[in-house]
This record gives sequence, C-alpha cells and structure tokens, in this order.
Amino acid sequence: MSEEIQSSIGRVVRIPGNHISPKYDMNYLRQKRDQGGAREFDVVLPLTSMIDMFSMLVIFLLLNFSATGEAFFVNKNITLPSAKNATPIESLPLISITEKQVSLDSEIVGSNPVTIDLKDQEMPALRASLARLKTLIKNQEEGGIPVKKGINMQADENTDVVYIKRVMNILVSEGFGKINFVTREELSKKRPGEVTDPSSSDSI
Amino acid sequence: MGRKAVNVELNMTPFIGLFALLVVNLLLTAVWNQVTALSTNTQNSTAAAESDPPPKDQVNLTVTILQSSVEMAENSNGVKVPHIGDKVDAEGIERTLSQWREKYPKRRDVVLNTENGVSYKMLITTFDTLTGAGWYDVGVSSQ
Repeated sequence: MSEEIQSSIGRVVRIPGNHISPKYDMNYLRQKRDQGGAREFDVVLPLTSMIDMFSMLVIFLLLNFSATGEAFFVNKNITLPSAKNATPIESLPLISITEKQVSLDSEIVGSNPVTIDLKDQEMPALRASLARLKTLIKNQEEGGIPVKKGINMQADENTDVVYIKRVMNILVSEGFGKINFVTREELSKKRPGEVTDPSSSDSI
Repeated sequence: MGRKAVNVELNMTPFIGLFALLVVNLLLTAVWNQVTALSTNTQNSTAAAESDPPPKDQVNLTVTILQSSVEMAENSNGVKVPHIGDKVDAEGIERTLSQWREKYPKRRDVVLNTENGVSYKMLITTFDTLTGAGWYDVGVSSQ
C-alpha cells in the first residue's frame, strides 16, 4: 500500500508500495507474515437466514398444532374415504376392516390385535372380544370410572358394504349400537350461521 | 463528538434457543392426518325388540344406495338420483333433501340403506351429504 506524504513545497509525494503493480502486492500475505502467522478465530455466523427458517417452521407447525392429545392409528393398507361434515374423532376401540381381515384393537388384549377371517360369517372371535369389552366397560362403570361408549370403525373406501354390514350386525347384536365411521377430513366452506351436529346419545 | 452510539447489536442467542425449543415441541404435537368420524346409532335402524314403534302418521324417510342410483323415499314414494359415473350425485341428493326440509322442517332423522355391492365410499359420501344438509340423525341399516 503506498503512503502519501505532504512535502515542504506543497506537493504530494507517494511512497511506492512493495511492487510496481499493485495487483501483485500480496498485502494479505505480508500482513500474515508480519503478524507472526497467528490465525484469527473470530468467525461471524450469518444468522439472518437461520432465523427466517425458524420463523417459517414455527408458523407452519403452529397451524398444525393439536391440543387434544389423542392419538389415532390409521392402518397402512386402508385409504379412508373423505367427508366434509364429520366431527372430531374420540378415542374408542377401533375395528379395522381391510381386504383380508377384520381386526379389533382394544385395551383388553393389549397391543396384539384380534384378527378374524373375513370368510367367517358368524365371527366368533369378534363376538368373544366384544363380550370381553362389554365386561370391562361394565366393571369400569361399577367402579365409578367414566367410560366412553361406542366403537370406531375404519375401512378402505373400496370395501364392499356387505363386509361393513356384517360387522355392524355383530356389533348391534352385542349391544354396541353407537358406531363411528372413521373418515379423512375434507376441507369445505361452511355457510355463516351453520351449526355443527350435536353428539348422539349412547346406546349401551 | 459526545454522541451516544446508536448502532446496537441484538443478542440473538436466546432468541434462537427459544425457536429451537418451540420447533421441537410443535413437531411432537403436530397433527399430520386430520381424521374425523361420522357417528351413527344403528339401534334405531335395525329390528331391535327394545325400540319403540314410530307413530302411525309419521312418514318414513329412507335413502337407499343402489349400484346405479340413490333412491330417496317418503314411505313408498321414491325419487331416484342416478350416480355420476361411479360416484354418488351429491348435488342431486341435496336438491331432494331441500324439498324434504320444506315439507318436514322439524325432522332430523333418516334411515340409510345400502345394496350389497355398493362401495363403502358411496356410503360415506351419502352419509356426509345427509349430515351436511342438516339431517343429523342418520341411522345406517345393517340389513
């Protein structure tokens, strides 16, 4: 880097730099050499983009936030039909009707689902599980524990209704009249002043 | 030359810490699948011994899903709403339901029957249409 000196006669005298052409001065290397080779450890991270990313993430996740805390597992082999006017689902025993089998997820049998052959018309395994479920509900009610009544039912949208009706027949004959058909929410425009459906009464 | 420095550097570290915690918490509570349910009380629609017989002058409103159409009947008088392709004509059903609403403004109950061979999707679509039109007490027949 050349320095400028004011001479006694008023003229500016420039002391030439290390090289005739400034392009080849290599000032950075000379500076490193003069400093003794010490590295600078002060690194400034650009945080603006990181904060932008976090802001977008928080806003997106806030939109998907749910405070109900109830989990629901959709069988991977099932494509649920969509509905615009359905109500939020409750945590109840779930019957899953797939292409090959019917299963009942219930607290009675722990984490192992009860599978029933689809060709079986009477479904004794399902009847037995429903009888156990009824006994459990009765014991809980006698013990003063509030019990939610009803059954959730999920099936693939292409399932023939004959399989649905067969399971429904068994549910009704065992005393489980309140059946909730599980659906996928389809967003719709609600008309102003429209009131949603009040919950139906229990049947057990 | 005695001016105060107006350039202030905000400390972003606690801000980033807060955001990181928020993101983790919201990821754990986010709802990815919006699952809902259509509720029915089948005891009212099956031949249960405990159910009370309806009044003699009450009109039975039934919606029957057939393989090619939806039949909407007031007792024995029925209107057929043909399907559109393999889908239920929801708008056609809504038109008939609006006529029913004018005739029976206080009624909310309707029985939904299905023919064997009809898909579950048609049942749900029809059920959804009935609920959306104000017919909340839908009894799905299991016969």
